[in-house]
Amino acid sequence: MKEIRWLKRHVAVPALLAALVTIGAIGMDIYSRKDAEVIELKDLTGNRSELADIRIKGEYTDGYHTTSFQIGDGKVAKSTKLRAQPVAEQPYRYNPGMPKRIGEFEYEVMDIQPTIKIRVRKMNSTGPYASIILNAAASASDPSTVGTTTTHYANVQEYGLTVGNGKLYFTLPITRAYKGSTGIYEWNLDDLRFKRVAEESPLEARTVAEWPLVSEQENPGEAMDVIGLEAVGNSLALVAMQGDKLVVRGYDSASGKVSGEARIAMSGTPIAGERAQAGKPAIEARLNESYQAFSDPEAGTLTLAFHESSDPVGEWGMKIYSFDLSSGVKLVNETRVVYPDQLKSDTFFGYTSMAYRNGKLYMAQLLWDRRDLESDQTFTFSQPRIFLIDVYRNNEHRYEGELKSDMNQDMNQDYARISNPANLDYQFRTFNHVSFQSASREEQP
Amino acid sequence: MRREVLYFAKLLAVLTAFLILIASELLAIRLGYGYTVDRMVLAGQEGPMANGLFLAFLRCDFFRLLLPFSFSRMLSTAALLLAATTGAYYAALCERSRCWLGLTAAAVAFAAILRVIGYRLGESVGSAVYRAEGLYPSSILLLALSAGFIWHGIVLYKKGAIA
Repeated sequence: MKEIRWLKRHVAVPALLAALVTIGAIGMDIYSRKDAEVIELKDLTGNRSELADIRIKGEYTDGYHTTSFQIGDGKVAKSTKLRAQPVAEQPYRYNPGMPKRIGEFEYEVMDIQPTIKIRVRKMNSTGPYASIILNAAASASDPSTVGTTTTHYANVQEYGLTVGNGKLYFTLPITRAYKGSTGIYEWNLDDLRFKRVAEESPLEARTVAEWPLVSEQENPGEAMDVIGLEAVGNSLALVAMQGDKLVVRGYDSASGKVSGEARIAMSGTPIAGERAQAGKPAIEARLNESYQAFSDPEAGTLTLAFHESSDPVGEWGMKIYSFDLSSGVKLVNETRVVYPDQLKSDTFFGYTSMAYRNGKLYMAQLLWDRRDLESDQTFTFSQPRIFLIDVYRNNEHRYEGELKSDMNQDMNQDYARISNPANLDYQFRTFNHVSFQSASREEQP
Repeated sequence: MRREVLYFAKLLAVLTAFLILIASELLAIRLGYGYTVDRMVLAGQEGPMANGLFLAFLRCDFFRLLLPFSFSRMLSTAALLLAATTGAYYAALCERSRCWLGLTAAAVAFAAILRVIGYRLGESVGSAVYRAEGLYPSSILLLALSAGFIWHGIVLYKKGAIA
């Protein structure tokens, strides 16, 4: 009895201490496990020394934490940060119908004839947006659709939009049938006013460059289909089709002067390499206008990747062109990459990053991996994924490595059921923001 | 002086009880995870997730409520704990001393605690609308209420109004 009374009197302080120590110890144990996230580079083909002259930086992330990694000197360095609040973040690639995301904003181009309205909004928010009205759009018109509610464009309007050095640039993706004049317009991102209510606040555009249009009837060789606009450092690249040629015209983004032009014949491009050797018939590489553009301002290069619209059964390919815009416009590299259908590229949740520098094309891709039929799932969301790093030099595949991680384990619970794509943003680890930089630049991961 | 010490002694007892509750929950999670993993390994099943315990604490809203890893969330958990402790004790004191206005204040604290817990258990689905700083006002409110409860609790103690 006496002992129990003694215990009752003296147990409180030890109990409090024991509780605090338990909470602290478990907390520290859990927190220290953040460094146990696995990211390893595994060589598949070629020699890792191909990566020696660059530093690959990127993020391995889900909605709750982000592991920043850096591959330099063939080694992977990483550090993990936990988010205070879950964020729905996806690797993003533009798909027609979605707003185009660049940096911290997302952009939507709306065609309200005769004006064009660009809506800008902070990424991942339902908050206020800024509207930009472009009246200059009225200066170019397609005679065949005048007076109707139809408009024809050579590509989705968002392809005509790009951001460089804190400025927004836009050109209309007009077809060769247009008459009048067109141009490249510029706005300062700092001037944007974000408002809760839809309120017209016309922001004056600066005209970077303007040129009269030559229609198809007048001069069939000169008429162009504008399929996009890309910014590379202080240059702008207008991507267009002229007849059967791909035209990349460089503009100085300050003066608007044409710095140069590169033309590539597209149709009838013979397919070299493995396919020809395998005795398969060479087909024409017809290109899809929904290309992906990768700008490397540090190296002054622009890389355009076109998905081929007709592929032989069992394969898919991309035609990748790199241009040097540092002085004039030069086509510096042309590479064709081919993958088996079992390695699927995904236009929605996939991720691709490319850069051309040091005479090599570097490529990082997140692909659905269906090579192992045992793990093949009905629903794409539960299929395993693979993150590949490739190096090409002069159309020759020099290196392929896999960045190994535990991301596919996040699919375990979804083997038997249709996963909810809404959860993809939070629960599924993925790779994002991968960039290729010079190895000499000193930076911490 | 003597009465204040008595007040804090009782408060500390309630706080200790809450801390023991949290510690035992964390211990149960830790032991439960180890037990499940060992069973899976013994049964030869496809292995548990690499770094699974860490991911569980990261991805489960309830686990993050118990064991937060960011300053705003730690402050929030501490404020919840303090407000619950002082609020419950203060409500008892008010009931004994028939201070009905004080009970209203305790009810306000209780409602705020429920709202904050509801918010934090829904963070995974609501992040599009929630802001990361969104918890500072509620934490400050809860801490201010706790301070008020402590101050008035001691006043009630000193008055000897407790039957």
